[in-house]
Amino acid sequence: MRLSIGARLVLFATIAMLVLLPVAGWMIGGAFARSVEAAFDSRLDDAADALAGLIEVQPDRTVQMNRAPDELRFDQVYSGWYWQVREGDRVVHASRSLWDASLSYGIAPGEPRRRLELVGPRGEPLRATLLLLNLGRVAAPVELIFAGPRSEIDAEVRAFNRVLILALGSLGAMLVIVFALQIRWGLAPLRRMGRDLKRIREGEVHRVDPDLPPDLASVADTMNEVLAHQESLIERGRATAGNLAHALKTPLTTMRLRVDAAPVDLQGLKGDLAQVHGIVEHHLARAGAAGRAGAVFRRTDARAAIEPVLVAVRGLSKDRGIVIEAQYDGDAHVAMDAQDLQEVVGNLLDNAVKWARSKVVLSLRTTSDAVDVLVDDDGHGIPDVARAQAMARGTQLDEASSGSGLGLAIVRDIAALYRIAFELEASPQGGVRAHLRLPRAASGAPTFTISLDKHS
Amino acid sequence: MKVLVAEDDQPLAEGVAAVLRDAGFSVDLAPTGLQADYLLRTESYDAVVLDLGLPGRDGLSLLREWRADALDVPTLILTARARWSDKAAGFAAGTDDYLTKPFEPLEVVVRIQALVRRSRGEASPVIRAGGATLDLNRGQLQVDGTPVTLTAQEYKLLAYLFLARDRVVSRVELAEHVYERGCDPDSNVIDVLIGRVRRRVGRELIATVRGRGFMVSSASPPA
Repeated sequence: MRLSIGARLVLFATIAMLVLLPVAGWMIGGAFARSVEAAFDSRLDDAADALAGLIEVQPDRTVQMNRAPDELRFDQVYSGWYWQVREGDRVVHASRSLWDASLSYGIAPGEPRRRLELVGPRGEPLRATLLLLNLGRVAAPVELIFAGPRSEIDAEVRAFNRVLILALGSLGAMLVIVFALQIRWGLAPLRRMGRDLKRIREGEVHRVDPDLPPDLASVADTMNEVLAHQESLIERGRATAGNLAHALKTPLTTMRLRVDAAPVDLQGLKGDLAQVHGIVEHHLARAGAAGRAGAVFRRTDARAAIEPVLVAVRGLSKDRGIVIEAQYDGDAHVAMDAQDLQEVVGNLLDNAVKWARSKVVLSLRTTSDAVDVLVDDDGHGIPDVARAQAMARGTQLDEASSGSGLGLAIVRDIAALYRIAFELEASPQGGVRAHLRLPRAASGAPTFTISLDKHS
Repeated sequence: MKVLVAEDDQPLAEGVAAVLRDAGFSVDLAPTGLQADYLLRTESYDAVVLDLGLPGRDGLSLLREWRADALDVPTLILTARARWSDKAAGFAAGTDDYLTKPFEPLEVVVRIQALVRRSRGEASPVIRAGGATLDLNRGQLQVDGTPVTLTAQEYKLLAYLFLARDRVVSRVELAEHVYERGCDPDSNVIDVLIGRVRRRVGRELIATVRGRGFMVSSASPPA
C-alpha cells in the first residue's frame, strides 16, 4: 500500500515524536530526580551537622549528647527518620523512632562525610548521611548517621513524572495535529492540480490552471505542453486523413475515365497508379512524423540512430558500388524523435546515392546549440535555379532519376514540422550538399525542478 | 536455383512465383510463418523472399532466428513498411535486401538474381566455364560463341552447376535445388537430365565424378 505524501509526512512526524519525546522526558525526569535527591541530601546534612554539634566527650571519655533533638519525627516509632551514634561497634545513642532496632551498615575507611543507602527497621529504604567524628580524646572515630525515608524522594519524583508525561504527551499530540494541518495547507496546490486533471479527464477543461506555487507551476506548464501536443497530433491526423482523401480524388477520377475509355490507356493508368502511390506515401510520412512537440520530449543519440540507417542504405545500394562515408565529430544528442531522424537521414542518403558518381559523405558537426547534418555527393550537381525548385516542391528533381521522387519532400515536411532549417547547397565534393540543422538536446538535465528554497 | 516465397497474400505470392519461374527459378510457396520456418530448415534454398506481415510469426523475429542459427540464406524482405526506421530494423535483423510494396514484379527477379550471384561470390552475372558462357541475368547459354537453347529444367541444372563450378555437386543436392517441393524426382531423373544437357552442350562440359556426383570446371576442356 503506497502512502500519500501527506500521510508519509505525518507518519514521519509521529514516529519522530514517539522517539524524541520519551527521550526528552527521560532526561528532564532524571534531572528533576537528581535535584530532589540533592535537596533531600542537603536536609540530611544539616540535621547531621546539628546533631554532631550536640555531641561531647565527657572527662571519663564517654560520648554524651547534651540534649536530644526535639522533633516529632524522632519520637514516632519507626517514622522513617532516624539518627544513631556509634562508638566502635556499640550504639551509644539513637533516636526514639529507632526503638529497639539499629541501623546497620558497612563502611570502608575514607571520607568523613558520606551518603548511604540502607534499609530501615521496617524494611523501608532509607537514604542517610554518615559522619565520622574525630573527637580528640576518644581513639576511634564516632559514627553519626542520620537517615530519612527514600519514599519522600520517590513520591515527589513520581508526582513530577506524571505531570511531565501528561505535558509532553499533550505537546506531542498538539504538534502532530498542527503539523498535519500544515501539511494539508501546504499540499493544497497539489490537490488543486489533481482536481484540474480530473476535470480535464472529464472534458470540462483542456488545460491545467498554472496559478500555482513556482515549483508546481513548471509541472503544470509541462503538463499543458503535453496536452497541447496531444491535441495537435489529433488535429494533424485528422487533417492528414482529410488531405489524403482529397488529394486522391483527382487521380481516382482520371483512372475511372481511362478504364471506361476504349481502348484502355494502360500507360496512362500506370502513371495514375504511380501518382496515387506517391500521394499515399507523402501523407503517410507526414502523419507518421512525431513533429515538433516530439522534440520537447525526445532525446536521441544521433550516432546510434543513424548507424542502422547507414547499414540499410549501404545494403540497398550494393549494386551501384557507391562508397558511403560517415564522419562524426563527437557524441551528440538531438531533440528529435529517433524515427523522424532516421527518416530524414535515410531519405537524404538515398537521394545522394542516386545522384552520386562514386562517393557519398555524411557528416555530423556539433555546435553549442545545434547538430548540423551534411550529406554530400560527388555527382554532377544541379544548377541553383533547379535547387530552389527542388526545395519548393521536391518532386521534379527526383523524377529524373529512379524512385518516386518523394525523398526530399519528406525531408522538407519533417523539417517544417520541427521548424528546423533545411537547405540544398553546392557541395565541395562536386555535387549537391544537403544541410539539415537539428536542435541539440539539453545535456541530460531534467526539464523541470522542484525547488525547496524561497529563491527559485 | 530454388527460391522460397513467404507471402500470405495469395495473388501476390503467385504473381511473384510466376515471374521468378519465368526467369528460371524453382519456387516453393509458404503462406504462414510456421510453414516458412519449416521449409527453410528442411529444404535447400538459394534465396528467400520474406513478407514481414506473415500470419503466426513476425517476419523480422523469424529472420533473426534464422541468422542466429547460422542459416545465412540470402533474403529479400518484401513489405509495405517503408519508413527508414523499418528498413534499418530489417537490415539489423539480417536481411540482404529490402523491397517495399507496391513494386514492379520484375524488380524482385532482378534483385533475387543479384542476391544469389553475390552470395556465390560472383561479381558478374556472366559466368565462363570450359568454353561455355552463361548469362544468369538473361538466362542465355553460349557454347564457343554459339547460342544454345535449353529447356527450363536443363537451364536450372546447368545454372546451378555453373554457380557451383569447380566443386563436386551430388545428385541429391542437384535434385534439391532444381526440383520444387512435392516433385519427388526418381533417383535417375538427374542422370537423364544430365544426359540431355550433355547432348546439347557437349560431353566435356560436365564431368562425372564416380560415386560422388558431377562438376563443371572453369578451365577449358582438353582439346
